[in-house]
Amino acid sequence: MHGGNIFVCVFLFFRLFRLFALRANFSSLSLLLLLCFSIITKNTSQNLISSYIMSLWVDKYRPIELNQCEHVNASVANHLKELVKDGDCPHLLFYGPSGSGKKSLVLALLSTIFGPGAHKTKVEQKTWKIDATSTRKIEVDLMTQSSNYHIEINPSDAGYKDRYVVQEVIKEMARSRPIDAQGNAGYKILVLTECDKLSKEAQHGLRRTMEKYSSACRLILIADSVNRVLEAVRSRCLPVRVAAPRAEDIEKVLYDIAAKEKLTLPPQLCSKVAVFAKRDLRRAILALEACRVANYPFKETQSVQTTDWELYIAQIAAEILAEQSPKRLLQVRGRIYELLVNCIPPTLIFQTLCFYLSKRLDDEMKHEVIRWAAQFEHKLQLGSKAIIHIEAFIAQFMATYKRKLISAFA
Amino acid sequence: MPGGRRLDLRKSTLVANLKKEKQQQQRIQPKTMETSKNSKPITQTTSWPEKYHPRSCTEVVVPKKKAEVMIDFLEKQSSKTSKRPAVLFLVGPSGCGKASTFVTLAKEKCFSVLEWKPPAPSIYNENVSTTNENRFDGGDAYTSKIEDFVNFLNRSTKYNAIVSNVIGGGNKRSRGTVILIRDVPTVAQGDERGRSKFVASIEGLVSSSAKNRIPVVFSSSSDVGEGDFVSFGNESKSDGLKFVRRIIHEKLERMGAQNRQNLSEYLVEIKLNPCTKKSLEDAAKRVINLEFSSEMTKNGSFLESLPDEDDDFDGLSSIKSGMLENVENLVLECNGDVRSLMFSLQLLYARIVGDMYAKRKKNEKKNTKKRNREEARIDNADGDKERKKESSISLFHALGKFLYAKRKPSDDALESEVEITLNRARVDAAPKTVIDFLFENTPDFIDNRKIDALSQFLKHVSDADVFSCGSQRWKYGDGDQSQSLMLDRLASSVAARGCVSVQSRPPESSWRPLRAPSASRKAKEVEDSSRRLRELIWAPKLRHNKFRSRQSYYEGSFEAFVATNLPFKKIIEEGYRRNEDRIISDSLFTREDIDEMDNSLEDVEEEDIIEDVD
Repeated sequence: MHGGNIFVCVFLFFRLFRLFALRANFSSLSLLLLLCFSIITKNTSQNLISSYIMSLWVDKYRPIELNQCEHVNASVANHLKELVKDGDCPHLLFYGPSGSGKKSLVLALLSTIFGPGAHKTKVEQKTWKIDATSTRKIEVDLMTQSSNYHIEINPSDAGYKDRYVVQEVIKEMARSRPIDAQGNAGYKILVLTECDKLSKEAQHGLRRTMEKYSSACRLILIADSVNRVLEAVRSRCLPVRVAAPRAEDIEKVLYDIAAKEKLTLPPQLCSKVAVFAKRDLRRAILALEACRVANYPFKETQSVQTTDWELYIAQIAAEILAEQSPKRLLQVRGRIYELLVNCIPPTLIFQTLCFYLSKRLDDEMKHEVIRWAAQFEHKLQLGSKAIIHIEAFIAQFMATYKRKLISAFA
Repeated sequence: MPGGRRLDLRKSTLVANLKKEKQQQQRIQPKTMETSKNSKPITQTTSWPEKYHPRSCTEVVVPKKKAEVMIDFLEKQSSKTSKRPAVLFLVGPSGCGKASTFVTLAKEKCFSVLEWKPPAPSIYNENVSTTNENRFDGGDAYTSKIEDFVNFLNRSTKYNAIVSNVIGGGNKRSRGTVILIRDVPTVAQGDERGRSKFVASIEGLVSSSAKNRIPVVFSSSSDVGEGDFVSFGNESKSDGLKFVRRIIHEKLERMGAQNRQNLSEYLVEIKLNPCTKKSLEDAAKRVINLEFSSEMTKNGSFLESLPDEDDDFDGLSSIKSGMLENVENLVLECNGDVRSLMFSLQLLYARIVGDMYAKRKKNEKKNTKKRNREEARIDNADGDKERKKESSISLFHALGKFLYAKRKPSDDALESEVEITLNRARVDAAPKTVIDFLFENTPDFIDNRKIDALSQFLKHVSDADVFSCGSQRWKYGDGDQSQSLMLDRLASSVAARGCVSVQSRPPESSWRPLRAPSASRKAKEVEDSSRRLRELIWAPKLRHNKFRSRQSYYEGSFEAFVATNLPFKKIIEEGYRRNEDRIISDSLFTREDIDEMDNSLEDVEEEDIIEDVD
């Protein structure tokens, strides 16, 4: 592409130069220079995009080694380094809110144990044939990402078949034990992500297999909330709490990234992004990049762009506060469906809606709203249809709010 | 006027069904009459509402006072000398006997009645007339309801101008003519031509009514409980009866009625309530008595076809007593609708007679003639009870019961019947269906001011969902089947009770369409999009099939990907695209420059060629 353009430029240049020499046509020359300029600038912008498609900053600046965890989770990283000094480790359970750096820590830990080879991975879709009972066979398709030393799977993708997957994968790993350079039987690491989404049966299955094959493999479990992991499983792992980063730590990370990208980041904007991120590092870095593409050089007063679904929920909240009637509720139902179809997690809808609703309420009412939200969110976990529980919450809010309004003005 | 239209359909379909049945019977009849004496007889010739139309003012179901007002109206017309228009509005729920009463009274007072009924809708004809401009076949020409109506009015007014003069002078027997219009047709919103025609014909009707002293009666089932008829400030144009009112009102004003006092002399309005239990029971008994007495005296096919006289007589009386027993239940179920009461009586009659014949045939085949009559009668009665209990209803019927919160007039019996209704609709063990349907449709049925009621209902549904999910766990876990069934029942009953309990009284009697639940459809959409989004995570990683250094791809949970990564990625991508556009637009060019540049390049080429030639 580049070469072709240059060729065209040179060719045109010669054609026009002849003209210029013959007719002394100055305007032609200026046009030619502009043309060349435009082709070059276009190229650079394309490069810009292709470089972006490679990765977002949030993926690009992920720590690869435990040593690289400087600002966030530094102490956890140090402890982990000490833990795996001998080349072995117990079962681990990483837990913490999303965007706190659990997965990054796990990946860094793997490379610390096994060296850079742990980063050489292959992604494939595996099919397991499992004898569920003596008569029935089950086939399960699951995406796995594996290196020579470990396998990563997300068993909750398998839905209700998750319990078979967990046991089968571990059995298979135990069958093919790696042998290290000295001829000692080594072990493989199984990384199970989104463990809190596993069914109870699967977790019980996990507990039995963990004991049986503990010589052949180590488990690293990753969960958002430790409450949804069985007590029995918890007690068999070394729990590692990965706390959500504080705003100051996030700021440090942001300055770091800005320096690596050779950008000047005004402190005001930096703290603004850090506050906006709500202690979620992923959100912070993505927001920073969004700021970068929106406006560079940065302005101190620049606003941080928020996600579309959050704006959507804010709008829903405004609609709820404007009118409380069954008709309005039906409209809101359509909007909630829209969110659910886009796979926004219902719990997050509850949280965000609660946040935007309580912005305009007094303390007494806020307390009530949060109580209702908690109650219906609990029912949501027990039930199966998210829309019913979200709508029940909204209707409850509408009824309470309307009663409040009437009593206030009457 | 959606209510009106629905009722039209119901009437016409019911009648059509009955007629069809009759035709089939007739077709079979000639053969079977010859071959066997025990063939099923023709039991009906006309539908009962028509057959047992009231004949005198004593048989009318409408309360006496209201009937008297009607008579008063008629008397006034005949005695009045001044040329004034007279219009009567009869308003009330369907089947309360508006038109029937009026026709009966008019006949009694020697008025002849010209009636307009909406034609039964025929979709095929409508299709033909809208698709084919010119018809070649000689089939029935289709006319829209409005056209039909206008034609009728024109015909009647023209005709009456002559006839009433002639008859009014010569014949003493008829005291005049009355025009009765049942169910004013609805004018479509956009149909301006039809509308102007409609207005003109109504106005013509009023003026001719004044000229010829022909009273006009409008009977309609819509706008029950509508207030003062003079207040029509913000009605929608298409609302049938209200629209007619306005036209007439304006016309009357033009004709000289100055104030309301005056107006009320021309316009009479009678509001009717649903029939009382007592009057319905009386009517039902009257009809049953009439039916059996006519059977006895007619000595028709029914009696002939029976094997021996004695047995038959007993059979008839047993049918009669069986029907009389059922009257009370039927009256309760018809919600004050005489027409539906008559239809259900007729159906019951047909069923009992049919069953009896089937039984008798069986008995003869088995040659068990010795069977005791007593026994037979008890059997029959038992069968009746069984049937009534077993009769299943459709899901929609059950939903209608909950959504409209139909209660029997006297007590709140519905609450105790929720489970029975669910059982009869065979959905008591399918809570998902019940929950989905009720969740989808209940908000439509709750008054727009009552958000509290809706929130109560949704709370119940939320609980029901938890129960039904619990039952799923029992079913797929190691649990007991009976436990899961009980939870299922519990779930559907909680949902249905939630719906019933928040509706203290039935919603206003307008018809709302029932929507199919969108929940399952949406669940599928969620599944699809979740699969698509998951592929988005894996697709860039899958591009390399060999062991590759872990490049900076997304790592983390699916939820975080959807909620954080994806939306920001969209923003960032858009930003880059915008920047790219800006880079191009910021360069020193304008659109004109580029065009000029293109042109000049072409010039260069041409000049070049010329040079080369030189």
